[in-house]
Amino acid sequence: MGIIHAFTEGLSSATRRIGIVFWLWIASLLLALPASLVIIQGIDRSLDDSQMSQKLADGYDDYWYRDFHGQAEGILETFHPTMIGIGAILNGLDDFIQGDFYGENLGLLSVGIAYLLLWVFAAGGILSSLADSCKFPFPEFASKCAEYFWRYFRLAIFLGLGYWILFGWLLPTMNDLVDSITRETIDERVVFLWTLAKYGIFGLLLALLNLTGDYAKIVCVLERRRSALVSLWRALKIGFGNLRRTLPLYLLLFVLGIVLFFVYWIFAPGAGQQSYFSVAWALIVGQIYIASRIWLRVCFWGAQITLCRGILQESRPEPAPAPSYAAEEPVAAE
Amino acid sequence: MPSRKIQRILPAAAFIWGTLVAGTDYTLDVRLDAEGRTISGTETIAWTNETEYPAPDLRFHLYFNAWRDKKTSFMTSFRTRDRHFDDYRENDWGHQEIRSLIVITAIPSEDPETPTTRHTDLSKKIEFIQPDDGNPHDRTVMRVALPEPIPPGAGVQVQIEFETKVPRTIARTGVRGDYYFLAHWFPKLGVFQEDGDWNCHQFIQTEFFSDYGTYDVSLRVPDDWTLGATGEEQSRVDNKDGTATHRYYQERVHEFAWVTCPLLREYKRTFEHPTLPKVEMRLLLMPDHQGQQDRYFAATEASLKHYGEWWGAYPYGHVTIVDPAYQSGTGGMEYPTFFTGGSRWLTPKGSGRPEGVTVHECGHQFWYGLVGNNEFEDAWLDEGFNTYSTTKTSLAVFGEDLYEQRYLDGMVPVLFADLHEAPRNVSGMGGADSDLKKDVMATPSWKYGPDAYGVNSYTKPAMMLLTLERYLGWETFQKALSTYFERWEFRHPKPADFFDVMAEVTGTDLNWFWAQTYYSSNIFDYAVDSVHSSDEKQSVYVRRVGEGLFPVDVRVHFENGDVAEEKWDGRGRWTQFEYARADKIAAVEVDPEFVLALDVNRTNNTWMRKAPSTFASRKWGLKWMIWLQNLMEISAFHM
Repeated sequence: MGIIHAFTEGLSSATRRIGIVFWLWIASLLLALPASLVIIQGIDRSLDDSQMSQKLADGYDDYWYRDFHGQAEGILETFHPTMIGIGAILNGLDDFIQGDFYGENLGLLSVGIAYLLLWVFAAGGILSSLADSCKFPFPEFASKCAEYFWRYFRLAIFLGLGYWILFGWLLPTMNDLVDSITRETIDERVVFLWTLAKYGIFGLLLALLNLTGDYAKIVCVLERRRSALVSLWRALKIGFGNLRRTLPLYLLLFVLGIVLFFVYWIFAPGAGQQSYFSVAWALIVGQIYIASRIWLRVCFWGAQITLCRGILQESRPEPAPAPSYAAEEPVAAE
Repeated sequence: MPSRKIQRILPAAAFIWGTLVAGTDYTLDVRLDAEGRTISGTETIAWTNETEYPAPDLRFHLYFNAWRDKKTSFMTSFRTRDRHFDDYRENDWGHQEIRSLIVITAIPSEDPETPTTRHTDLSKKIEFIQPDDGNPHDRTVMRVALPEPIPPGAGVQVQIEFETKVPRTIARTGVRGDYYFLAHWFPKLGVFQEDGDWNCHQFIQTEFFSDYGTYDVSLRVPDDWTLGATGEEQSRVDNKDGTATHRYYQERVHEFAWVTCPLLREYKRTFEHPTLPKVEMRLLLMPDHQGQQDRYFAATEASLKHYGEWWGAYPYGHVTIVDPAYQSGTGGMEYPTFFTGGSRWLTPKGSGRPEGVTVHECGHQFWYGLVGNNEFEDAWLDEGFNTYSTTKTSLAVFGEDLYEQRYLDGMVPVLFADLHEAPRNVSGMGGADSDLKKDVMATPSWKYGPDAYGVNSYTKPAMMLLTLERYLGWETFQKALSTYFERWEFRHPKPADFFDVMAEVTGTDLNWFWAQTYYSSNIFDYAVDSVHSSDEKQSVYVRRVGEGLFPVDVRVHFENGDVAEEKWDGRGRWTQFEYARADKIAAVEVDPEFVLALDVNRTNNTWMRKAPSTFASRKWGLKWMIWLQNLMEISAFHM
């Protein structure tokens, strides 16, 4: 099973399941909207009938932001003007790799956890659909989701432990190591290279953990596993046993994600919308990117399930040749 | 000045010279031991008692003792105590040790032509005192009791042998790798004031104060290391043992700092101006900032030009700009004729780095270097003045900075071209826990409470000055400030001196203003309270939200295009403007020209009938939503 075939099959199968992508995107929107309304109300209250509202409508005013931030509490404190454009992604990504989740705001954390649980639930239906190479009507899809939910929930807990080790122990250790190595370094370029190396290694380990999680979910479906631990074990064997294919495929999909990122950077709207039409357009561009991220996730699963199926088929023993019964001379009756 | 050779042979002659010198002169001859991270050598201080009081003792700053260990007053102060130094090893700490201290005083003799001198070894009379906090672990102030007081008008020479252990930088000075930046690195005499008392504070949370004088300093360092310092290099001698001795000299300064590192590269350029003196600029640049020399020079020229035109000429004829090494902790600091900027390997134009810090630190040559306020007591007299001047210069030359976010451990910058960053101001500082309320500006700087130093030294005084500029008009204000500069150049002004000059030149009683700002922690906030309309009458209510009082203009726009300009003395809690007319009020602006830069909330200064707040809030709220959705995708990806 070739990587390219798995990759193209992944893209194709995800695209054929655009309905799933659509509903997951709707879910993302519905989960994010209530919190956004709090932000909208907070900004509205701050602006009141001030002429600052005209400045914000036309662009941006930093004096307003300082007034607003000086009084902001709770979720309002998470608002920052650099959330525009590519900052919408970079700010969150940077916080994430530093281990800062949702600005430690409980409200936002709850939204994040809810979305995570939604994916845990939906994964069963998505992967079943990909495994069976068919699209289910909604009741069957939901039934598949329910069937695999607790297995995937247990799997998420195990993976969570893995992420905790990576973010809670490994990353701080690597930070300390790089600090120690560059303790007397006075050339920032050298420190930059060490930083790149640090995040390169950390990113690779993160990818391997994520890859393992993906294959564990896939194995659950393909091999009808009930045990999360056994699925994990199988995933380790498949994933690491075929690393020359599983990792490049994962990285190829990652590169696709980078491409999407840079395409968004080109079109990402800044602060200049001055009409409801342009605001709507900015929102649409942003939502297209969100939907493409969801589509990409399904691509990952589609491609990996294709590769995994191929690997499993290759590893099955050759069936014994069917006996062939040649025409025989009738035995003469004695 | 007699050569050093004559000084050694004829101490009497040197002593006579010392009695004629105003200020405090330093002659140093030291060697840097890069392996041991020490500086050792000799120092001769010539000091004259210019007061009417006898000096019974001598007091010195030993700044590097602030970094002996974690128990010093500096290390346990508000500004430092939350920092962790768990990774500091034994060799990372610093200190200053006095090996010997000899005081040379005059002995009255019958022949006035040949005075005799007495050399008194007071090495064993050294004691450490803690006049500010009584912390017995703090050794940043050394006192030496004299056998006889130094009478008014008399001079003294002090010869000191010392060793300074250079720390891994904790604040402003130290070593990192092969990069040494040395400031306040030698025993420094305090200031004997006109009231007969020493101003010699412990080194806790402030910057510095010392007398003007002449510095003649010989520095011996590895021969392939670049060196820069206060003053101009007089000579460089190759010692043929792998070291070279650089001799630097400068008159009429109050500090001597230097830098040495094998990686620094030198660039030179000349500042020229039709009405200001020429200045030779020398830039010492680290290799990872190659390509930024033009930016450093442009910022230095901007500072020399604008400060020179507005306040007064830079007189020294030369200045050295140091691009500090990465992680050295020595950036953004000023010393006479010598300062550090600050940059990053990746620093896009428009981010304000290195321009902003360079304008500021070069600006300190004027406010701090030439007008030498006591930073222990009145840090705002240089920091506030310079912050105000820096903002004006930067806006005039470079415009507003753009928002810069740095990612990947702060290594990779992204500029947001749509977002202009406001210059330093007090917007948003009106809350109950505002830093503006944590202390009064008039409190001596060394006594400021937690979180009070920065706002009272930098932001608030800068806004004070900006308010005065707008209130008095630029022409009057500039004349007052330049008079103050001219009058107090090479002297040590106090706040009252500044207030007196302002009153004299502007012809205006500003005591009500100082009472509100300098002597109080009142917050200023004026707002539009409400607007009422009927068919026959329109009303505007304007409110004073803060405790500070300031006269404000109120501009009322009507729907038919008419504009009413009102004035309010700002004293009551509210005022009302009524108009017997049918045209509705379209907009109201309190302090439309933003004269009161101290107003902590600009948003509530204005009102408009058709304010698009709904549109604006949705526009920005939906941007926030996209940020949240991206965050959700990042974490969900890893389930």
